Amino acid sequence: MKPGSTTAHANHDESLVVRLYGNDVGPEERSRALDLVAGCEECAALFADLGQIASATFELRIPARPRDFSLTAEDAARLRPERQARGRSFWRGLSRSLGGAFAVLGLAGILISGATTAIAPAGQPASLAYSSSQEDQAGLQGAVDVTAGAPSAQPNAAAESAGTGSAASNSDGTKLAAVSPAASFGESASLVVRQPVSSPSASPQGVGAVPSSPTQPAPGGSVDTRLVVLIVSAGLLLIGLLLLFGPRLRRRRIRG
Amino acid sequence: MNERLAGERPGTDPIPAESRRADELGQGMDVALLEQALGGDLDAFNQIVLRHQDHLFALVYRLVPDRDQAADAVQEAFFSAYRNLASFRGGSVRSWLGRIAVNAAMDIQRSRRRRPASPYPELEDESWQPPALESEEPEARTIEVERSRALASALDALPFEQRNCIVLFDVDGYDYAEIAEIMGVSVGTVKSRIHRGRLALRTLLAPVMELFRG
Repeated sequence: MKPGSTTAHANHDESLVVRLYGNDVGPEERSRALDLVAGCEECAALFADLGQIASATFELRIPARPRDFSLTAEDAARLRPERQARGRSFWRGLSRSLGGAFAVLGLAGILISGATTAIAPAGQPASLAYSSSQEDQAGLQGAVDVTAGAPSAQPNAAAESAGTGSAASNSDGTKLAAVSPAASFGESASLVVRQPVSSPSASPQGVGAVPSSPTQPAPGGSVDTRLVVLIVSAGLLLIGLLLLFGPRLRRRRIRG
Repeated sequence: MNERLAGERPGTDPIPAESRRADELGQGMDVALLEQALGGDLDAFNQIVLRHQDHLFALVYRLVPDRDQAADAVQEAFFSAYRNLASFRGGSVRSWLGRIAVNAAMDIQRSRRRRPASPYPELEDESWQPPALESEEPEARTIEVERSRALASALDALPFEQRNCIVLFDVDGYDYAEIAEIMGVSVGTVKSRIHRGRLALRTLLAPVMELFRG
């Protein structure tokens, strides 16, 4: 069959030629399509016509732009009411102020927290600064009384002291002071130090730290307090930075 | 976007470095203006309008073959862009505006389908035509007008989905994936629409194809 004849072209895949023009063929199809264009006059004419039509479409005469499409102040006011712009401006100012304040507070909190840790008395073991709540939770259960002849630790007394003080009164007028150096590390036992109670009024209630008791909080607060201050400060700092730099990050994202 | 000159085969035209650099500078200016517009600067937005209105009007006019309707679509596109400045997610402002304009044009096309109008009425009226170049021969100009008229009619005869895809691909240089995103269809559908549209255009223009071959 002679290539280029109408009969032959009738069997040709015109869509393959069209896809060749659109650069939408795989390597094998490309080879077949190129064969068609090279060997069939009709296919070659189709390919050429597609190019001519595309050129003409690109060059299609366009009427002069009938008007300027710039927005007027009225358009802008209608599309983005002034109060919206004012509202945005207000929130932007508020977020900047709050962001600055939060960041400063957070930073100050972190610094103070760090400073109090640094200036804690060198002779005072860190373990002594643990709060009573930690002791109660982890240390007093199954506490070991190390005082000679003393009765075993009394869970009831220890329980009474929970959350209220760092020491518990015993029935013989001594004070059970929990010292749990490793309480927070999960050990089940702690030391219970028997000390005379200087203030009887404190005993019945079991409230109040014994003067010069090892459980007296270290300067700047207990580790618990410092930890809370540190976390809150870090949170404030983070929120402050987000409020301050969030809009800038968003603009940077817009720039891509 | 792959800007392609008329008559050039797809995928064969490397963009010159100078042109690419100019595009990048233009994009940077667009984004800077858009940021100012986001802050409420209307003048900055209007500078964006001035930079892109000709391009958008030409694009939309090929989709909506009525000058007034095309102008309305472009105006609506700029309104929509201003209303939704915050929705810009980076990239090319030109493409972003193009997408908005094509959507506005498609809205008009849908309404036209319900209320058909005579296609390309301006082609009957020489007054709107761009002024002829002095170097342009009268005969060549006549042929060009005839060719434009035939092509415009053929384009208008296509289903608007096919016409949109062909115009976006051949004229505006969007690639298949970008067109799919604009039209909200799959890439395969876009390819199919383009290929079927090309064949249909060629069939429609077969009686006057000599105008194009000259």
